[in-house]
Formats: sequence, structure tokens, C-alpha cells
Amino acid sequence: MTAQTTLKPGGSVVYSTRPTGLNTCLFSKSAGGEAVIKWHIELCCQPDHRVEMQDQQPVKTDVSSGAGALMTVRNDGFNNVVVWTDY
Amino acid sequence: MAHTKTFAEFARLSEGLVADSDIALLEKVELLIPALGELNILRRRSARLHALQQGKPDQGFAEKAVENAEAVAQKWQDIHSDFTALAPLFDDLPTVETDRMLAWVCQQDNPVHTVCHNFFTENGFLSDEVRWLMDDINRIKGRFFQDILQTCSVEFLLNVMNDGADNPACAGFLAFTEDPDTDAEISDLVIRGRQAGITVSVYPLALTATLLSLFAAAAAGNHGPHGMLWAPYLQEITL
Repeated sequence: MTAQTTLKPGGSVVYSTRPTGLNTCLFSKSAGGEAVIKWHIELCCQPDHRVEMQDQQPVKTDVSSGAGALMTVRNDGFNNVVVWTDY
Repeated sequence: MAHTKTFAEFARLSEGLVADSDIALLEKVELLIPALGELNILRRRSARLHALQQGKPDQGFAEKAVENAEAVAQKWQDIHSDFTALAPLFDDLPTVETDRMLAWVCQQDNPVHTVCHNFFTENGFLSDEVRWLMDDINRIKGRFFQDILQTCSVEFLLNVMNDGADNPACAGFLAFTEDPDTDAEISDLVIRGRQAGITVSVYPLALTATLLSLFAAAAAGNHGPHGMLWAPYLQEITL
């Protein structure tokens, strides 16, 4: 489990994901109001994935497709977001 | 010919970027690109075998996956060794000029683009993958060395690349090292790339494209014995 990181609007953090066959989950929670993050697996030809959050409601996202790759998480909204992973 | 002037400019820019004594090093690019292409094919095979294992666990795909992972590890070791031999070339390259060359490589109307694109796709890369590299570099207007790599040396990059042990499909991409200072530098690099809209993992290809373009220019200038190799690619853009 990684430490919780508060991302300001525009802020980013990089996580590693578990190897092939093991699950990795990303958790995100708005620190106030509606919020949006985008996560991206740092491999060739990967799309951005968008996650929307309501105020204070934690959201769990399966990012196992990373399968050992690095992943960036970016606060793409206007409110602070707290993020962490279970790896 | 419409492109001749552009290529002449390119060749003039390239002239002198690599010392004559280092031209022989560029010949290794001939080996590096097919090897990267083979690694790419093995990575795709790894993903396919994993999917097959999920669907049909008892049909021997696990053994094939192990064999494939061993092939990836060996191939990556060879590529790492080739890249390490070429790394000194980048120490003396002027950043601004190198970025201009890389930008030209990624511009579809530039003949050097055609040379690189053809060589990549004939050696194991999908056209989509090459386009992904070119689009990323275009997105930052070619300023890969100036804006993204900045203080990262090629040696540093080579030391933090994934060897594929956890997942053969990740071999050759960036990975954390468990050293906090190094990982902070990797994070900074990856985030800098993401903020600019690019995946920093393009760099093995970007470095190779740079070397390839240097080699093409050197060959066009009749440097070394390998000018003939490039004749089919360069005949359309003869100076």
C-alpha cells in the first residue's frame, strides 16, 4: 500500500503496478467538491483513462493492465484529490 | 526535387556532429534496430501468450510463456549491451541540433522521416508504433533532448530500464529501482513527459531514430563503408 498523496489541480504522481497476473488497484478521493483524475500506463500506444469523483467519495479503479509498468496519475480537475494504490 | 533542399540542410547539420573516429560506432545501429524490432515482436507474443493462458490454462501455454520470457531477457541483455556501446555518442551531441534532427525525422514531409519510418517498419515495428513515436515527438516540437531528457544521461536511462523479469511485455520501458533518489528522478522525468503530453518510454526509439538519422546522413556523405546499404533508401534524396 502506498502512502496517500494529495494532488493539487494539475499535479501528478507516478506509481508502479504489480507484475502480470496480479491485481493493482488505484484509489482516489476528492478533498472537496467534484474532481477528475486521469491515469496512464507508461507503455507504447496507451490511452488516458478518466475517473470522476464526488465530494469525499473514495473510488477504486482496477489498474492491473499496467502489469509491472509505471503509471502516472494526474489531477485533471479543479479540486484537490487524494490518491494511493494497494501496491 | 522538392525534398532535396531539406535533406541537404539535414546533411549539412549532421556533418561534424559525429567525429570521424566515431562513425564506426554508428554501424552498430544496423544491428540495434532489428534487435529492437525482434524484442518488440517478443513483447507482443508475451501479451498474446498471457491472454491464451487465461483462456486455456492447461494447453501448454505456460511453458511457451517461460520460453518467451527467457528469449526476452536474452534479447534485452543484447540490446542493453549495444546501447551501452553507443551511449558515448550522445555525450558530445549538441542538444539543440540533435533536437532539430529528431524533429525532421518525425515530420512526415521530410525525406529523412521516410528513411527512418521504412527502416523501423521493415524491422519488426508496426506502423502504429512508429507513428506513436513520431506523434509524441511532434507534440513537443522535437524538443526531446532540451525539454524532456534535460539532465538525464543516456547511461542513467539505460540503468533504469525494465529488464522484463516481472513482465516481458515491459522490457525496455522505465521501471522503479527501489532507490528513493533514483526513483524520484524517474518520477520527475515521467511527469515532465506526461505534462508535455508524451510517454517518456519513447526514448529508446527516439535515441535510435536519432542514431539512425545520423547514420543515414553519414552514409549520404559517403562516410564509412556502409553508404551502399542505404542506397535504396537514399536514392530518392541524393544530394
